[in-house]
Amino acid sequence: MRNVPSLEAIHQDFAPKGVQFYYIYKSLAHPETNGYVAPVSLEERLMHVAEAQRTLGTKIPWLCDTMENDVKHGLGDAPNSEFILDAEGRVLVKRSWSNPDELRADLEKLVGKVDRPTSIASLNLPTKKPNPEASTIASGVLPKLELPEQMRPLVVETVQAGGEPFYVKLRAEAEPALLRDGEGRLYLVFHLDPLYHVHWNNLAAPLKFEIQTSSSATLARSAGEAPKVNVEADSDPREFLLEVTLMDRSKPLELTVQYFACHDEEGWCKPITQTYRIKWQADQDGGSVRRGNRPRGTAQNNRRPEMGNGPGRNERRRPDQRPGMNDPPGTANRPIAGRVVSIDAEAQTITVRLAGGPEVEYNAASARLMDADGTLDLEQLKENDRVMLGVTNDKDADGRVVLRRLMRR
Amino acid sequence: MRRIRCRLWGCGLWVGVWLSGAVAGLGLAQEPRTSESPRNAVDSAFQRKAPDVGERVPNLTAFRADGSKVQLFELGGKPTVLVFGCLT
Repeated sequence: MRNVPSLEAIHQDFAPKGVQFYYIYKSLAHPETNGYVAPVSLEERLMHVAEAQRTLGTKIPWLCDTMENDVKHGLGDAPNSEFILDAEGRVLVKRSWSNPDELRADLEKLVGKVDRPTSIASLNLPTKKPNPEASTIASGVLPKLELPEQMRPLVVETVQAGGEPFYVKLRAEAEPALLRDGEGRLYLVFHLDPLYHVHWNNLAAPLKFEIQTSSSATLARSAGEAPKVNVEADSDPREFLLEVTLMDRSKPLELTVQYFACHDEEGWCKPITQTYRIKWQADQDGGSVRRGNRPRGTAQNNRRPEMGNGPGRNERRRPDQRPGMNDPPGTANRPIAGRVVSIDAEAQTITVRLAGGPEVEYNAASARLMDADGTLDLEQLKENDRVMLGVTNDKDADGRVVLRRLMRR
Repeated sequence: MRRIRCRLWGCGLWVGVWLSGAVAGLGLAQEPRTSESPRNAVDSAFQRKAPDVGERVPNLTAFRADGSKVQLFELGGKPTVLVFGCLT
């Protein structure tokens, strides 16, 4: 939520004039950003609300949508919409994307101007880093799978057995052809939920899953095991890509996963077995994952990897086939040079004046920032720093190109 | 004269048919783009689905941060700003 500081300032100004404010916590717009994954219960969604309060330092109270997303569906189904209601609950203003400047102007018309509007700087919002454990556990130890384009999230349900929380969350996505024609690839990814502060135990057997064979689908393989990892603990997601032929899309797949999870602070390490049900139905509330920094499948390069392994990693490419050699500058594989104009750490964006002259605002939420001494935080960048940018082919909801990496020179 | 015009029109039609066939054959024809950008899709769905200005919002159930249930109608009594959001 990029607008939180501006909204908090508006709240500070208009709450004394009798306006009440609420954030409504809804399904994740971009799962996996900062490691956060979709909750599977109301208790977990309320944990997300607490995490949002902690990381964003919000004073405006939060309301939490139901797990069926009734409020989101009932109020227009947009991820960051805003409404002004009168005292009887009638809509005075509705906006599909929150816009603090317009909201302030609307409220000024409604209840009058504020003498001295609150500045964002004066709020001193006590924001905390999201997912702080992420920096203490190894990550990036497993290569990411090359994925087909335009994967659609599927509805996944948990099957409760025993009282253990779902430390690991399954996200299932289908190639469009799988839902359309009944034949295609199914992507399964198991994420550790950062809210439980656990990590994989790589001294034990790797995560494995089994899909109960049924008449709903034929799978090239109905079981899989994650690759062995050489470090004792890590937090990388465990990914699989399966070829599927659908027989009866009304019947869900039932998948059982086994893994060892460890919680360092609580001092336990235990085997967990849990079951999920995957429906052959696109999840309208599944959000879109920002996959800026992973290989993408294309029409020309649509190789089908083996389950649990990246494709073609041992293949040698001719020099002219190396990524980026034939790409124009600024595309995914050819870095571009520029100078930093401004940084918005809250919004995770950076504006850069490119060598050719234009200023471009990038989404840096998932970018890897580095200089000669190692990794950087966005806040460490300064105006006029010379940078080399690696960008993805993706754009965020506001049309900004998603940055893959930034190297300060 | 009218006959000549008709013949010319017919000729043009055939040239057009031939050209479009050739373009399609060469793979130059593109399928019409029907997909709108994700942001525009959200906008148009929102305009269609959200309650209109002047309409009362439905009395939906939500939860306060402490887990207690609340109906949207219970929030009334004051002008109210609602903003949707999440951790990501």
